[in-house]
Amino acid sequence: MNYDITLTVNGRRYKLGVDPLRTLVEVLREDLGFTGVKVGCGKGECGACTILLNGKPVNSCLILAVEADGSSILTIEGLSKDGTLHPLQEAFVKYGAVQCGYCTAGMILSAKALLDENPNPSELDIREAISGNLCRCTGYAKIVKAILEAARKGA
Amino acid sequence: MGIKKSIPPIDALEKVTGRAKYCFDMKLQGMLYGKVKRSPHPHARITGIDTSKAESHAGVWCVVTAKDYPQAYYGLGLSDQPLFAQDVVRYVGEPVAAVAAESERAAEEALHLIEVGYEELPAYLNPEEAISPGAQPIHPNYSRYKREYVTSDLDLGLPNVCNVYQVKKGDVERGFLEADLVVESRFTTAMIAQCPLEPHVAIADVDLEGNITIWTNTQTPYRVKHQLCQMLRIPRHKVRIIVPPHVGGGFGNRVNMKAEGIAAALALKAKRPVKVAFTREEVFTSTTVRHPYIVYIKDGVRKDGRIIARYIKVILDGGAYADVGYLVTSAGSWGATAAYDIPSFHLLAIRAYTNHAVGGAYRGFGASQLQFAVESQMDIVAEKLGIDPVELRLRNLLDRGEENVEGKRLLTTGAKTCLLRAAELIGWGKPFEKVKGGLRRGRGIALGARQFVRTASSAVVRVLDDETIEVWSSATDLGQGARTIIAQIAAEEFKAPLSSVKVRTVDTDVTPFETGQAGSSTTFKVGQAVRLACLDAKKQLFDIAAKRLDACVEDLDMENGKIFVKYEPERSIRVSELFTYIPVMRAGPFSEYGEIIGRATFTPKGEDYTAKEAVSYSAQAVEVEVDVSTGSVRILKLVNVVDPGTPINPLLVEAQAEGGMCMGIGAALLEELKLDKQGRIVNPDFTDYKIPTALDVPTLGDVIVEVIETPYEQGPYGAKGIGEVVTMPTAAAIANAIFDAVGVRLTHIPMTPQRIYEALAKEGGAHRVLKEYEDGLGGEV
Repeated sequence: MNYDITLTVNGRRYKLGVDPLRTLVEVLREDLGFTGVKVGCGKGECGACTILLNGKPVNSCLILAVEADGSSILTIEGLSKDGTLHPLQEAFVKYGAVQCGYCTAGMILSAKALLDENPNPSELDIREAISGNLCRCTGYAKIVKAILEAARKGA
Repeated sequence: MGIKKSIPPIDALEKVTGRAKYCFDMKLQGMLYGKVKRSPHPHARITGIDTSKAESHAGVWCVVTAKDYPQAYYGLGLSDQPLFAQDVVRYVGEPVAAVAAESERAAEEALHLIEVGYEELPAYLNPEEAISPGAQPIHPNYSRYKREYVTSDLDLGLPNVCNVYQVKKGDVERGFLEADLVVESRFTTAMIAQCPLEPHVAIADVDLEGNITIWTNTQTPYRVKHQLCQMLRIPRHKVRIIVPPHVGGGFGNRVNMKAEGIAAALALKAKRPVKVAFTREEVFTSTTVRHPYIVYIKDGVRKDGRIIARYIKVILDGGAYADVGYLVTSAGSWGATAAYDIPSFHLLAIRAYTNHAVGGAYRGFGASQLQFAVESQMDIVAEKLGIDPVELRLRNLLDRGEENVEGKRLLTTGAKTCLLRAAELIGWGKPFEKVKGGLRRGRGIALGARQFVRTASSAVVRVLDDETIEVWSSATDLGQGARTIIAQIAAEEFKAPLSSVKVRTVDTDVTPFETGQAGSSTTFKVGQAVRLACLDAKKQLFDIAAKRLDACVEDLDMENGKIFVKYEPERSIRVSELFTYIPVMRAGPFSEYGEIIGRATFTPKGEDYTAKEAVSYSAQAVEVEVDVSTGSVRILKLVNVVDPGTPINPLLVEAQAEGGMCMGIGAALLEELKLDKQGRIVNPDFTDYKIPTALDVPTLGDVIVEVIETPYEQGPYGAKGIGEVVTMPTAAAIANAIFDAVGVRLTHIPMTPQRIYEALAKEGGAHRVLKEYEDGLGGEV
């Protein structure tokens, strides 16, 4: 049996009927088409499916869609406004903090959550904030640089 | 435009906005979901498979087993691996059956309804035992398997030998007799995993004529095509492989067929498109792992530090099947043959079959494990002779023009510069604070040296009337930046802005042959193919332009879409003006020659598939801090000096170097697939299998990458391959630094706190180290 839920994703309201066993990441990707939310492990270990749920970074594979009823969600697709990149996105491009790109969305959203709370983070603050987002390509240096730059620019 | 420029990856914008579509994100109309039933035993005879309950489960379209695909074997060089286990399972995680259903959940439920009877067989979980005389063969039909390209003539007369490779020069036994000192060591490396972040996925669709189209995130599209055709006994034109422009990492894990065969088998039977996406657990247990190595090294050295004889015996734990291990056995040896000039040398590498997960390609292709051993051994020798480790390496370094142990004259330079610069950047030989309470600091250095694969590559370049340059290549972009490098090279040749170059999606129905992204080969061979195809297209443009400008082709040049006479630049014509429409039908556009399509196939000189005379280098120096009371290691500083020949894109070389070191740290300190007594991997997840996080690498100022430039004549603009060598010396550099810090030699990776603590305990333990400090033996050096 499906349950009716309401989600606000990237500022737009959606009314959905969902199977109570389905995870939030499944619904975001399969039903709503937000494939920028990635699946790397399905168990809350890699951080690729990170979204902001009411402003907090969460692994969307660990949350049932029905649990998110009434909440406000930001995915990577909602970060740039009117074609203007968010300073984090801009910095990630500028520093080449992107290789395969599979961790990028989660990485940027974890960084955004940090900067929303702490606009002047230290390098260690940044490393801690993204320590739940695994990246196998970059060695993290360019990612940390990009986040520091975005913070400097007042992201 | 052009080369030698630090440009962010051309697809970075798509990736930071979440617009980039990966194979994992794809769906086809009417698509089914495939799931795989896998063996729970390391070695067992299948006594029966009952699929009836699964077949009648709601939502299930079909179940496939070996019965549907008898004799469907594949492999590279040696076709020993069945698509589905035929009578016998040889490792935990081997496919036994697969289900296609309308939802992933229905497919998963059906898996539990498949009943498989097993009769357990004795399993070999130790490669040295597996190849001991008298051991039972894991592959009784070994001699009947199909072989191609690569075979070894060497028959050791031992059981369970999958492949053997040997390099021999001079007389090592005489060398040992003539040596002042003989140093013998044994090194081992754990089973580790590549861990690309996007799991393996394939979507297969079959039409009425049996043509199979597969969307996959492979890193070797043409090889997958070849393997599928061979396995299913169908002609080449029947299989089409499409790889989306974005692939979530590779690191060797996507070399060879993985999910594609299972997806095709299900789609052929279901007559519907089928998507097979592996779970993370399946990626760990059932794709491939990095071969665990056992390495014996015996060196004969003179007092002056010259190594005059070296014997190396390598046992590779190949697991149940060959996969690409046939090549790893030989290519892995480069970890010992590339760097040093040793008069008498003998390497014997034996790849053993065991009942472990399958050993495959992993960034470095087997050379990393060997380089850990060799570069640790260099320090052991240096210590015994009382010679500085950097100095010892310099005294044995192979120079340009000198013959390596395989009889090839080295054409590249760079090793010495990398080594000396890395030493300088870490402050080698300068005093530093070695002791701080229970913390001990040390420095280590190691040289990475690796030949790169040079197989053939083709490219097609099409010039459009809007002056767009389309490049058709089958090079996959795994995040390493293949498409960016291709675009830069095309922009360079046409002297056009990067934005005018479009790199088309890999599709074997359209894009030409390419061996695949393996062996640090892409920039070298694909780069050359693209460059030559650009020249071909340019020649066609110049031929037409010469007539229109009444000039000689030789006198023409072009820039930003304008072709002009070199000595009279105002005599010019735009590329777009070379195209015309047929007036009445508004058909076209056509040039006088029809389409402008340049093409080229690059085949490197020589018959070897390796550029044994060309070597890329990465010297790494590291400073570590060991907590003697816990055995834990912190990396304080990491230096990587890299020689990519000519860097086409220094930013991307730097990115490779940073990422490679991080992967090296993982292999050195953290990563290990733990096996229980049944050969089962007990930690197939990121909670229990630790890859480095942002907290496991040194802070920004303490990661230093420097790129040196030493052009290599045969490479495009002088470029060499760089993707693997950057990760190869990290483990040895760290082991050498730990030795410098606490005087204990670790010979197994990963060097976990427990292993370090135990090694300390054996050598008198933390007490000795602390006592040394109290006695004032520690302190500044």
